[in-house]
Amino acid sequence: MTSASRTTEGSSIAHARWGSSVPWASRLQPQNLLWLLLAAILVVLILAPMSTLVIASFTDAQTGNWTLSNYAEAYGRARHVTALTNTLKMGAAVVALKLLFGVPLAWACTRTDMPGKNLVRYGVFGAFIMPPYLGGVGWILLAGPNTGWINRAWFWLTGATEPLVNVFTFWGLVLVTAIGGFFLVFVFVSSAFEMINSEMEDAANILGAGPVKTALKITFPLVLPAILGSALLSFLGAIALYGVPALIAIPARFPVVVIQLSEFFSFPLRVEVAAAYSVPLLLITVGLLGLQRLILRRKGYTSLTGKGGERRLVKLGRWRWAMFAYCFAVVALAVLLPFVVLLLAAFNRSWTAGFSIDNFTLRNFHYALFEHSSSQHALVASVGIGIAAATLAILLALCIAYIVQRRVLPFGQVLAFLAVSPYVIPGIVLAIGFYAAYALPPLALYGTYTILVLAVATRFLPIAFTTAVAGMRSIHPEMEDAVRILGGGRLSVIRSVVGPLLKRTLAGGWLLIFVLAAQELSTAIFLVGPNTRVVSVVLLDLSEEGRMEVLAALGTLLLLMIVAVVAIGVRYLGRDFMLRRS
Amino acid sequence: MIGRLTLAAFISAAFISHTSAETNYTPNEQALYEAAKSEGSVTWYVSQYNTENADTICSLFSERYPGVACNPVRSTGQVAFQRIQQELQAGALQADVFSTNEDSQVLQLKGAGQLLKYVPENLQHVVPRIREMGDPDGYWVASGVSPVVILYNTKLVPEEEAPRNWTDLYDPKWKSQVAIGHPSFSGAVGVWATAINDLYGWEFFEKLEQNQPHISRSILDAQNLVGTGERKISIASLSVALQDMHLSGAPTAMVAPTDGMVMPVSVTSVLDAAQRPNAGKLLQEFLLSVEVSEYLASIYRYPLRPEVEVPKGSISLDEPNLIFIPAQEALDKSMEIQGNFRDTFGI
Amino acid sequence: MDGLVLRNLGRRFGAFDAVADLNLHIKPGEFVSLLGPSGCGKTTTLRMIAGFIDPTAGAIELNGKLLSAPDGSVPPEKRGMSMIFQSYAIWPNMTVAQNVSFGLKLRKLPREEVRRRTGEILEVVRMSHLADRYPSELSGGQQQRIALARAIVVRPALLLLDEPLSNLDANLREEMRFEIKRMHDEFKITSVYVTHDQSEAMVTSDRIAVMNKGLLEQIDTPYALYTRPRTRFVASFIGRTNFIAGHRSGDLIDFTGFSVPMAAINGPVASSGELTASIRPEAMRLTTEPSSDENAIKLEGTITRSAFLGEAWDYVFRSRNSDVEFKVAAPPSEKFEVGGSAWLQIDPRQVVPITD
Repeated sequence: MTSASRTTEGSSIAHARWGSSVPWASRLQPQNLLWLLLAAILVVLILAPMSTLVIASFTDAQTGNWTLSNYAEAYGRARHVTALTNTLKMGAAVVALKLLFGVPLAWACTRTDMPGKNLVRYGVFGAFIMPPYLGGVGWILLAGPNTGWINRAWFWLTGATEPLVNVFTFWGLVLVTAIGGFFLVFVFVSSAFEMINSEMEDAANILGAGPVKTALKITFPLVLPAILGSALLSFLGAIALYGVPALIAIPARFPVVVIQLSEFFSFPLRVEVAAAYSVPLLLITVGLLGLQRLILRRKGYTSLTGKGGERRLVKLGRWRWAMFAYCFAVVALAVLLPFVVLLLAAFNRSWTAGFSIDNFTLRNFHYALFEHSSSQHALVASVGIGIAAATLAILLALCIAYIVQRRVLPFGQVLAFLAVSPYVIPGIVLAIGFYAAYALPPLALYGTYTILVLAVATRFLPIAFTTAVAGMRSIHPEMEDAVRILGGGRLSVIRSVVGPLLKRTLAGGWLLIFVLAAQELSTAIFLVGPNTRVVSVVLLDLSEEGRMEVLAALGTLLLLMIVAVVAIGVRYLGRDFMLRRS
Repeated sequence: MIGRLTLAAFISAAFISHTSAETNYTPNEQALYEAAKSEGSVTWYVSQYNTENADTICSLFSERYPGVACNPVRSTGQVAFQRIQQELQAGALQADVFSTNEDSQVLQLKGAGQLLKYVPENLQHVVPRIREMGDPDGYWVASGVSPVVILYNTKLVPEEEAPRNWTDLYDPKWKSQVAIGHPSFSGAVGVWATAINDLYGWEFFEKLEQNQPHISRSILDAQNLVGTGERKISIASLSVALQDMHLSGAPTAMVAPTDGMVMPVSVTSVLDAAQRPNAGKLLQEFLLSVEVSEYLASIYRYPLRPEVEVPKGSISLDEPNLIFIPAQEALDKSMEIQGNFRDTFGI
Repeated sequence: MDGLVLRNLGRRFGAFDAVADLNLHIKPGEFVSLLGPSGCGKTTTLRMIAGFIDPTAGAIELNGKLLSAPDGSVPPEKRGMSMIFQSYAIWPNMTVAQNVSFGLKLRKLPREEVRRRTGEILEVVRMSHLADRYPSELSGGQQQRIALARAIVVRPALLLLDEPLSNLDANLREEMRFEIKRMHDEFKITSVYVTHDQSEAMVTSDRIAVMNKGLLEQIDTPYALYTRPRTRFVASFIGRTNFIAGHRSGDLIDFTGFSVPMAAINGPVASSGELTASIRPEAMRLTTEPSSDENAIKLEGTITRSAFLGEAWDYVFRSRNSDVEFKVAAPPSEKFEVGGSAWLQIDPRQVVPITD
């Protein structure tokens, strides 16, 4: 029955007829295809590499048959198993150190009257902007056992011959890994502290709990979810890092998973074995995620979502400056010291020479910018990939968050799960998955910028997605209904209301991703081609050639470019319309 | 300012005098050049030189052959080889020419039929001792030699205390003062490890391990640690050591070990699946030219052409205790050596 | 058929029928309220009309065009309607003028016309002076006026209002009721208004559809709905009332303690003879002496409770011979003591039989 006859016949309520339909043309929403396309992109981006990885791990490279031999090869040697246990040990130690750095700083900056809070905040952000491998090089210059600045000062001061500190050790590896990532802990825990209402603490005080008891029984349990969440992320970040282990774990002779993976990637190329070696890593992270959920669910922390009421700062009294000293020490370890020695090296003929006018030179910068065959290109590529990947991740995340939050498609929760799942995939494993899925024919994306941007965007999609979901939650659905009933489609909704309202939130997320993407090494190391080298890879090569001065100069240039983009972003955010509301 | 200009003028004059003398290409060279021009560029995976030297050779190449860009991609031998493997697997070979310090790698590629057979015209003019290190079947040429020697820091180690032979490296007096490279990253280190294993058996490395050597990735980094004073002694590539001493003023000196100097051969080949085979062949020709040999001598590397004088401080290639490891032997032992190394040093 | 037609409309969420078998015809230019307690299905109905929810049964037509059916619906943006939301849903990223002109721009009208009509409607809602302000700088009432202007300026085929006044304070709410009424009188836009507030519905609506548990209980003019409720739910939801049980006995209906002639009862009586009737407190009068009115029913009893509400007295009267209690309203001047005796006078025409 056609709709035409339906409307003419059905002229009275009593004569209802079933089986009639609204004309197809007027039902059509072209955007629906777009939603499906987006969902498909997501599935392809995440499921394809991961399933290729898992399938490859069970596939015989020669015959293509099903096999377990890859696992036997991957875990058949004691050394390979040691690398895994070492990685877990290192991950645990790094998490402990990051918490030791991040949590007190977060508390001091949000809940106390410590002086110099902004200084500390800038410092922590500086530690975030500094790529981990650059921090690692800084610490090699600081704490090399014989020539490190700290040890030379120690020899000079005490006449000792044994070094005071040695970066090429387990703890050196842990320290250098931790300083690069505690920013995340700081941000997570800070925002949790900001959520806590002073009244919750007052309630405990009234009932007779002293300040220490209140802190232990009330305040810290309330931020526990944030601590656990950031601990998990820290762990994943630590075990997936490639640059720092390459610089430090090899001389420290402390084999870790990423080094072992690169062995499987060297001759003879054993992608399948690398895949098999990665799968337990995936299982461990999924297990940790489950554990985190279990802990949080049992205690029912879900109430910590409301707005913080009035917050009073804890008066530290004479401990104010002690707290500041601790914070400053952390910032010094994380960014000030390594950055200063890097600068010294960058402007010096030889990094071991003292800093005097005679040794001052701009040659390293000139070489890095104009003579080195790939670094100029790499600087542009790094920043370009950062911009492209951050934009792609944010746009994709916004649309997915919209689909999920507004239930545009069925199975939205599956999409949400997919979007956050790169969270549990170590970057290096993701890179191997991408390599296996896209580098080879038929897609043959090896050596293209496309594969780099896709991989990096996928890697940081969870950050983008969490940002976008939080933003979407803050928008009343009726804001969108209002657009639609006035004649705007869903795209119109996103363009004219959701997008502009989330501008600030999204721009914040964009900046975070940009910084991470422009520095990204773990993913890039297996995916760059000769013409798509990024700064991180060039820096790693320079470190292997021992060209510390040029490395420092090029690293400084990368930092400058990142800071420039961040500064533009912050300026833009600062001039946003939202400011007019206050 | 004036000083710099004069120097620049001198250098360019020195090079121009040669290039102008040679600008008349041979017919074969002319044909390759024409074909290379239409290919536009050549991508050179190179572990034989450091980035700076590779960059210079590339710019010399493009000066002589305008219209053919040269993109050097410098990494350690194993990394370059791994990339080529990856690219072949991906069916997207980027490299046209491959120069490595480990001839077992090209032997491997030859066995898999992945090399292009090409006997460069310039090969006949190369020093015979070096020429015969190439592939008799014409799949690769020897493009450089540099013995592996012992390097020490002259500020930290008096000459009389410097090690004399390889076994001195595990003398307990050098505990925590030795630097070596990693055979899974560096081809030269791989050849060195194979030769040492032949000489003394694997025990050598077990004893060396007792001395807690610093494990770098490349041999360059290892000797750089001696230059900065981070370590007192290291294994080193002779040419690079000379280069550092003379051009950068590194406070180092080297010792030719009495028990034998390992001689890794650097080789260059054009890949069969190269996207720009003619430009590749042209680069291979160029590497064997007098012009490059002059540049090599200026950076204290062995020239390949007899017309150019060997730099001072180099060891004669006719020295009796030079150790060559045939490519086939290196290939056969490569996996075992790397595995043993990882097992012994735990990394 | 012109206007909005809901035909056997139903919406099921899992095993729960949010709306079932709803039939409604709203004539062009009419203002109809959907009134009911929360969870009665009124908002679901409104959102089905808007196209945000697809029905699981039945159909929605507007001016003869099928909009919604279980197998597919015209999306909201193609319905040519507009809507006013409970949260106002004013876009904070746009100025007042941008908010109001948004729908006009979507309709691709010439820039000049967009400006003219925006200006006119802002004039109508008395917001011209705030055209360049951002919503965060406006009060709740002003935001609601913007919402009204934004919805009306596009001259929608149908205007939907979803509890638009529930977030405003009492005084503003009263003012806005009349504002909405005024707009409707001025523009004659067919409107559907969802509310749980009966006085809001009564002020604004031509007709009120009372809904309960997903079903339409009764649709009538405010006056008819109040004076002739058809169900127990409608009688109790709109205003206050007394329910009395009775049964038929020949030509009379016997209630406890009094009886009423069948002819006086305004409505049908079930065949079983049992019935319930509603008597509004205002339909009775308390007197100190029995009334002389022949037709009135007169009961003697006592006042058991009293409360003074300012505009009226609220008494509870207990009949002497049946112990049945009645809530009775009286003007402020008619004062009775608790415990004192009184006569209750009932107008039999206002005894309304209802169904349960």
